[in-house]
Amino acid sequence: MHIALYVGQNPQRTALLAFAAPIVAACAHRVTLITPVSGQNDLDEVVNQLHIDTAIPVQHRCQETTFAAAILSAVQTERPDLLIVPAFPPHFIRGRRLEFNLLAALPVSFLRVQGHVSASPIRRIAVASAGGEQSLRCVPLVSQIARAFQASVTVLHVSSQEVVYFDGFVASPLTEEVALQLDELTGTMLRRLVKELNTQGVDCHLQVLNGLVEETLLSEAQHYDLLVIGSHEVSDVVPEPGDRWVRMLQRLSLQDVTRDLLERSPIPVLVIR
Amino acid sequence: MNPSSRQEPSPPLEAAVVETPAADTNGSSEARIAASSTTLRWHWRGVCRRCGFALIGLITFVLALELLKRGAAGYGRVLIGWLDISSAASALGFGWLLSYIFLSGSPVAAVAVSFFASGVIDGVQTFTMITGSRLGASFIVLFVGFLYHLRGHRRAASVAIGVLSLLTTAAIYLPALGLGYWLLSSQLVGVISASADSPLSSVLDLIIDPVVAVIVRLLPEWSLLVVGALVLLGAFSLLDRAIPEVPGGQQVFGKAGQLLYRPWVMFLLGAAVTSFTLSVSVSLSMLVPLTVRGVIRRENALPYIMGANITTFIDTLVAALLVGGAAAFTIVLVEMICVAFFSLIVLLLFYRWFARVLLWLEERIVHSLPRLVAFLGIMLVVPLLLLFVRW
Repeated sequence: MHIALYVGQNPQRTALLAFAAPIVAACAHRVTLITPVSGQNDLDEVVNQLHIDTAIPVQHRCQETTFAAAILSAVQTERPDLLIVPAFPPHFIRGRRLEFNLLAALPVSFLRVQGHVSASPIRRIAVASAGGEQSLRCVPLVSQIARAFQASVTVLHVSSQEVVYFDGFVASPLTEEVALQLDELTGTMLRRLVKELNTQGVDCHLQVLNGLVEETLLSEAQHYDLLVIGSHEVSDVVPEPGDRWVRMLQRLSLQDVTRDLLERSPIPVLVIR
Repeated sequence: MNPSSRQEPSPPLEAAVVETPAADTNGSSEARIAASSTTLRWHWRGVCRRCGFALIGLITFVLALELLKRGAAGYGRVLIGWLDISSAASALGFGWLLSYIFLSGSPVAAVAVSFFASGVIDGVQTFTMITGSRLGASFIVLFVGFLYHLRGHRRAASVAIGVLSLLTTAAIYLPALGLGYWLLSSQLVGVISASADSPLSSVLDLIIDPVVAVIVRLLPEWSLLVVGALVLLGAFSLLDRAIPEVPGGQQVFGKAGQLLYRPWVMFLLGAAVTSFTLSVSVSLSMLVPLTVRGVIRRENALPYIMGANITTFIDTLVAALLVGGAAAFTIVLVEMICVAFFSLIVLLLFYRWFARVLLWLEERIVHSLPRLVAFLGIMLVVPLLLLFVRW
């Protein structure tokens, strides 16, 4: 796997290097280290901290003056399989806004190191899925990481659905079975995701929870080392005028769950493109 | 085909090939045109029928308001005196309980406006009575659901949605009640100029006044209040029939049950739908065909109810304009603005927290039968107690 890391100056850099080192050691066959021009002198120290195997080719990309420009320029040229970035502290409002704009524009999967970063290797991975077909895109990356760390994977699906029509006075919460029966397509897709991860040699199972989507996921994430979520694909293709309207309407009307989870997750988040 | 035709040379193959489907095409296209013209005719017939219901509903609505106004002037005062509705709190309880009897909030709000127009209750009492009618109407969402269920219908809001509707209404309307009470009692709000002699009123008066005169001559005075209330219910029933059927959800909002919409989008949708249906419970029941398999995400339902709770006042606003004039219009407008103000504050500033608390409460109430029964009991007892509060 080609892994790129942003290793420029940042309060979260130590945590990032500690978290990324085992991933790099276990999964990388090529590494790209990204910093703005000002961070050029720190690179040797970073390489030491990451304990990168001498057999793995390491490329330095020291360019541009800001973190956003440095990352975007490097990613567009290198197209890594995974980009690892630190999280900006919440009080750094301007930096955080720039960061989220950058993350929304990234064309590759990225891992944002944030919240509680465990010093021990990744043991439990939560894959949050709404049951869309795009969930299957996570299989190659997640299976690679899970196999490397012998981690177990739980596909988390939160059902916040409420029956609208009157159906008696005792309205018990929708059970896992009922929720998946009501939405057969979602049920089929979730089972397929689990099966595909199992086929890749990963210990994976499905867990359906009942509650508010974001709240439930965030509360459940505390029991895991890594949260994996999907995201709307960023395409280089210029959309048709009609599509552009539909996309704009979708952006305006649909909640940005990916961004919300990225902002509030208590553990590192891997966003799949 | 006659035997002689067999003797004739057969037409070239191409011609036969061309002719046969051409004849079929002509036949099927004629059938299609006929079918589409029949569909169009039915469509226009449906539109005309709905317009007819809307027009008759509107006339009946105004007629009912006039009868209520006349009835309120006489026996409404007696009723209010007998129940001793002398305070804002008792008017709140009265409006709340009355909506249980009417199984709807809108007629009660119209009654409140009529009472105000005939000087039976004052402005603040009218305001609290309208608020009570909305609180009662939310409870009715549950009860009407139960009645529909017994009659084998599926298009009624579930217990969970009913409880959520009640909690949302209470959470927004109670602070709105405080603000509105303060604005009206401190007379910070002047009378917004709105004419009761609008063209709509004048044209309708030409039709309504002779009918009212005949009814008043025929019926005893004490019955006008009851007849007015019955005519009002009939008017709402007619207006309900004017609402077009909602097509299947798969085509329109196919994924509304699965996707998470931004709260303000659902808020606007709830407000828009209710500005046509005028009833929160009808708007909620309209969610059934709008969603896949009749399920909706709780995150989406909450802002929808918040939006619906604002535009549900449109019919009361019209009633106020028709029978109560500028002062009644101002009272309803203050109510609407106060509710909209708190809804927007919640939506813009602390929606997440608000939704979390309300949905947690709803879950606690709905998922245990004893708690649900206790909750319904409280909803019956509170308005009864309010009826006896004298401040």
